[in-house]
Amino acid sequence: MSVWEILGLAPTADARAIKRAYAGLLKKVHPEDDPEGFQRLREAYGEALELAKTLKAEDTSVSNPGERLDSGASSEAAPGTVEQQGTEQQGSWQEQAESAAGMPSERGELPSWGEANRRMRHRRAESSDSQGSVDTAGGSSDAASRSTDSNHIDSNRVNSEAAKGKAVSRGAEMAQWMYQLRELYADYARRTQLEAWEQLLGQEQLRNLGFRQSIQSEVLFFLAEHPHLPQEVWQLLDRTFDWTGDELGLARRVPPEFAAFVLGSIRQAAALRFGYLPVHSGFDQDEFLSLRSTGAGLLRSGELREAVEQFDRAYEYFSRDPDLLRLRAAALHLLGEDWRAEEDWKLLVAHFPGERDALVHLADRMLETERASEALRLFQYALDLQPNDPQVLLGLARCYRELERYAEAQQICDLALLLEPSDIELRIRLLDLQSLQVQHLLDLLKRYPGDRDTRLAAGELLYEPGRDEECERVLTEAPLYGLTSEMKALLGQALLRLGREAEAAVRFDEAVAAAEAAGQNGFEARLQRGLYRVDCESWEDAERDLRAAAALATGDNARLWAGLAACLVGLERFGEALEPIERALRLRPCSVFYGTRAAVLHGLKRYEDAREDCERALAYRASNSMILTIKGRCELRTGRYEEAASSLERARDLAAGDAPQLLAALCELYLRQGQYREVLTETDAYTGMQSADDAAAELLLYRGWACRKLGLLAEAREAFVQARLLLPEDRRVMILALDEQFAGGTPAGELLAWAEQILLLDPEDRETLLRKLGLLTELGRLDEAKLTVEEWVAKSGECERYAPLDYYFGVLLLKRGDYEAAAVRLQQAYAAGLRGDVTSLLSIARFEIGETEEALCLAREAAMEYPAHPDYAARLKLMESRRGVPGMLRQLMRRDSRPTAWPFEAEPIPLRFHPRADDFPYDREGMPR
Amino acid sequence: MMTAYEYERALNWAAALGAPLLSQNGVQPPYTTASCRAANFDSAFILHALWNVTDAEGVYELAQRMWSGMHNPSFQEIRLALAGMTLDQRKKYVQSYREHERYEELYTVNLYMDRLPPAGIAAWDLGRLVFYLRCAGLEGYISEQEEAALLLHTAVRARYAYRSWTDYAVAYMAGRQFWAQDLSEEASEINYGILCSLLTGEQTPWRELEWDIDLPEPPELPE
Repeated sequence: MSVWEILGLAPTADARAIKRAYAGLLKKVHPEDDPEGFQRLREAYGEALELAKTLKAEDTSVSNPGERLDSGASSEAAPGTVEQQGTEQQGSWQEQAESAAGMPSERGELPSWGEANRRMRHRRAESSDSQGSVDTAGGSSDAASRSTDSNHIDSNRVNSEAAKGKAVSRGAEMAQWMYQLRELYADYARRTQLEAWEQLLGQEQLRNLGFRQSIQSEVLFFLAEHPHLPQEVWQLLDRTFDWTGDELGLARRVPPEFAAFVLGSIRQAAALRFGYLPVHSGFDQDEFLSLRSTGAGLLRSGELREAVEQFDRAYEYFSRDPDLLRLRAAALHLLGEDWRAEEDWKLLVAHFPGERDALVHLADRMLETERASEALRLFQYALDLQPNDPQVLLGLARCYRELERYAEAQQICDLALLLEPSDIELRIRLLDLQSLQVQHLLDLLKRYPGDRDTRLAAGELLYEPGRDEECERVLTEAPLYGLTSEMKALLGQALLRLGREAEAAVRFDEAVAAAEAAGQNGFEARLQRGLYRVDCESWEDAERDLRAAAALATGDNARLWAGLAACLVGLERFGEALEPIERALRLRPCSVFYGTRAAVLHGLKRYEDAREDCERALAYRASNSMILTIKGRCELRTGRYEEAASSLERARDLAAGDAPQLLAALCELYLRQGQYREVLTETDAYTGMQSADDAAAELLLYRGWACRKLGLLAEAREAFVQARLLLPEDRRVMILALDEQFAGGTPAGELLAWAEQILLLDPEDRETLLRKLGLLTELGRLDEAKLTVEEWVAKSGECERYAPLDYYFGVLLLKRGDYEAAAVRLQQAYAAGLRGDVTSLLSIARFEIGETEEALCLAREAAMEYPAHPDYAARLKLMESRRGVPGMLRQLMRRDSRPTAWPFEAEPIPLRFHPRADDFPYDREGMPR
Repeated sequence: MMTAYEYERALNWAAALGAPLLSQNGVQPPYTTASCRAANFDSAFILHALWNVTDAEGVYELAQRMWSGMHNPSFQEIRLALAGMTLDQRKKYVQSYREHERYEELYTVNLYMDRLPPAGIAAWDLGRLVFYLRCAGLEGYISEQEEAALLLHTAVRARYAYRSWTDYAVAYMAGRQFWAQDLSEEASEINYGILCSLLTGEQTPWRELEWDIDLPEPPELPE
């Protein structure tokens, strides 16, 4: 049991913590009751204080020591520290990399704990010597003596002889095993063999949990002083003792710094090799490994000069270690001393031909020092070792460039770019190559001005990086030799980018005509003209061109499919647009195409999907007002009003002017949020507008709805009627205008033709049919009304279920004098909730068939509900004055010979319904009917 | 002794370091104060919103920070962490961070670390600083002389860190990728688009002003 375990502490340099722990334990262990335990505790206390001094002295010699020791001052703090280092991956990359590399962060040195132990033992040995005791000499026996000490303590703890014997036996076993461990470590050839370690760690006694736990502290203690092991061995040790599985346990056994070292050694990402060192006893492998390891740590911490010093010292010991050469070259390269690094790379390449890193670095160095041929050979060899390595391909391309083998350079750059599309240097080098190629082609053109293929190739190379003026010049400078269809198409593209649209349009037309005249494929000409027409929003023409290009295409072309999809969006054929845009995205996922698909999905009312695509598109086109508008509309339709407001406001900020589509979306948002006044403000400019597009009409509709909500019925009517003027053929607009005017009391004569026009477009529109019935009734054209009702009933058989129709039926029957039948119909309308005329006319029908009391009740109800209505009051009055007339007499009084006395004045006003609700956007608002 | 013409050229050279950002903001070469003013971008907003700079003191502080390195230290830190590894170890190590939020940074460093000079992505910090210095000049936070001095100090640093405009461009864009943490092909194309005309245009400062131009000794800066 270690002193720390006896004291119940994590190893610490904090003397106060040790004293506190000791004082606490003294209360529990009385010298009279447990003299051995008391002795053991005192010894542990003394040792711990001494060890703490050593740790503190050691730690003050490295940077920032206080924090590190403090962090391990209590048993609670230590696990957290280790866990953070081992699992959370927080902090700087250097810390993480050092942790992964198995090094504490103090300048890459090995952990101080091992050294502290060495000093501690040294002091104890001196003390023993002074007392005349005999100690074994040499480092390898230290652990044995410790083990013996430990056994001594353990043996004191047991009282029975049997237990004592058992402990001694365990101690002997441990000593034996530790001896084997030391022997294995001491023999360098065996130390680097995994099999030897497997044999040692596979021994029977290590399967015993108790033995494993007991020996673990000894092993850790040993490793602190003898840490130079290959990573595989560290990992094998971990499989035996499970340090990575119990990091807290490890942190309790050893100082946190050493725990981190152990975990890092197991997980290290930059493992160094051990297999190249001389194994004979005359070579101090540990000294070499210590220097190499320290140098690597210094390299990681950026102390390059110091790192090189360590590497130089290690090099003096042994100069053929590939990792040493590689590390030194890396440090020298970072110092900008490539001339020195080159020597190491050369040594590596000469002695270790499979070291790909050295090949690449040396080749790079040669390329930069104008030795392209040698570099080419090295790069080719490196490529053999790992085909398709983009870095090597780039180097190869640069070699070809230097050797003026431009075509090969370009091919290789293209390939590398396919493998590593995010490599900006590749693109820049490619650009460089293209410039050289252009120059080469221009030189050729000076000699052969009639070579149209060369001219086209030069034009293409100039067009690609945006050298449009030069592209135009090259294509047009030799008119004598004429232009092919492809050259004309390219010229059109260049002119377009130069802002000369009209000329570009002519060139595109010429390109198509030239291809047709020459009986050529004409794909490029059709494609470019089609794309140009998409930009001009000439959707039908663009579609024709692009479909023709698609038929002529020999392979898939993302721009073609995206252009076609854009056409179909423009033509509002969203269902058809989905397939081509998805095809384009499969070929080339980019933000522009995502934007187009967003428009398609929005048109298909797949708002969530559309919104996602908008997000993708905006990742690279955050300032695209159109995409922001679509996004805003999607958010609007999915009830995310705040986000919609943000998107639309941003779109508005970015747009050059207020596009009607954008305003329409904003107005819809305002309507949904009940901000009706804002709608009026936004749409003010559109009132009285003579010619405008669909979006303008939409805005007027929103204005109408806002006015209606605000009770400004005359203004609402005006807005709807104006919208109808803008879109005279639009059924939805016609309906809105008709409904508003119908409800608002516009004379029937003006509205009947509208209603009939709507019914021509949709004969099944029963809401409009009802309004037509009302209008006919109001106009006194009862026969037509009757005919209409009968046709409807015959056609749909729906009258029983439709209250307004019952009303009209009732009115017709009342006019005909069939009171009983009229009462039935009107009663049905009344039961369905219709009031006003329905109530009053029902009272007349009831009165006429002798149901006087019921009739009076209904008449009173109508008069009370609408006290200002002159007819209702008059009817009630008449009924009350004639309630005494018997039923039979009433029938006599109704004869034709006495028309003025009887019947009641029953000129019904047709029901003026509220405007019907539209599906959009008011479905959420629940507009009252 | 440098002639007025040479001095002017040196200042234009220094301003050309900020060409990517300047041209993105609509400034035409040779990126003089007048052409910056003509581009009419919101320089006060840029300085205030991004750096909280509203006066000369803030400008000097910003310059010091940029010269010390804003993103470059992080880049170099990762570079050092990877420097001791073999190419295969680096690749494996970077891949092990695939799900980590800073994977893109690690990937970018691994991609460029062998190709960049010891100065790393200092071009990214210096190039941006030139743009901000122009902004500060436009807003009158610093005088014309102060702006010239700060530009020349920046120029000298860039000049000794890189060997050509192409090297500078690569380092600048590597820095931009490192900052943006975006490795997509499209982002790379956009970055490439920014550089394209600067590197190939007929009349761009990067083609007109050779990298090895004579630079004057920068005047001493106030304490």
